[in-house]
Amino acid sequence: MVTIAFIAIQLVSLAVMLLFVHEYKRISYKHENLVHTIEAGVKPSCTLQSTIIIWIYVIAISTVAIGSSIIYFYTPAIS
Amino acid sequence: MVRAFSTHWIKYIAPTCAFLIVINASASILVAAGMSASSSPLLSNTLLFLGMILTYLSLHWFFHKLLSEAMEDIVITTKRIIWIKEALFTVDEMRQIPLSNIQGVEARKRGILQTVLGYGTLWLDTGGTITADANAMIDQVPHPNRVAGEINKLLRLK
Repeated sequence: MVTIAFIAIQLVSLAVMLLFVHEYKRISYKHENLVHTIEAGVKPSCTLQSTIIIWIYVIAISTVAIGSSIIYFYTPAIS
Repeated sequence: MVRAFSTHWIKYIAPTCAFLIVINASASILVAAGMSASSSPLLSNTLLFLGMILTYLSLHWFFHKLLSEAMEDIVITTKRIIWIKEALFTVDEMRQIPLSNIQGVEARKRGILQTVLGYGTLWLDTGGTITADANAMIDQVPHPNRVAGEINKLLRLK
């Protein structure tokens, strides 16, 4: 039961991350399209900042997911 | 296009400070979970879950905030000024002010922080708007005097 709850939390967290990344992609594409209609070949300045943030986000969530799984499954007293 | 830029990085400071406080608290809970693993497995399990949920909540809140703040763009073209503000799932705003409607520009820096870090408010006078009108104001503009100068140059050319 506890293990199922643990896996459920991890899955919900991953789902939230994927949802945020998907929404970010949609907004980013919209901004690029808008700027392209004004001038072709120019990227909006928010795109670079957001790309860096999204990569840090993915790395942070993955690190917490992997780290907590290692602690949970490989610490005999906890699992 | 004359210029496309995002708002000043100061917007990241408040969420980062709040995040650091919460993440430190959750890290302490996780350490406590590890320390109590051998003596009290039930307490350790509870603390692990609590720490993990707090960590995830703070991470998702922090990155939602960062991404929302980063999605702000100001585009100045020879014909109009476009201001786009979006936040993940919550805000979707776009304002376009044609240069022909602009009668004047005002750049404002108030306080030590704004003066030292070089950011402030840009107020676009479209006739009939007052200086406190949120629709005519763009906050946290990096180097507002420089931007106002560029807009004034464009207004002279029109």
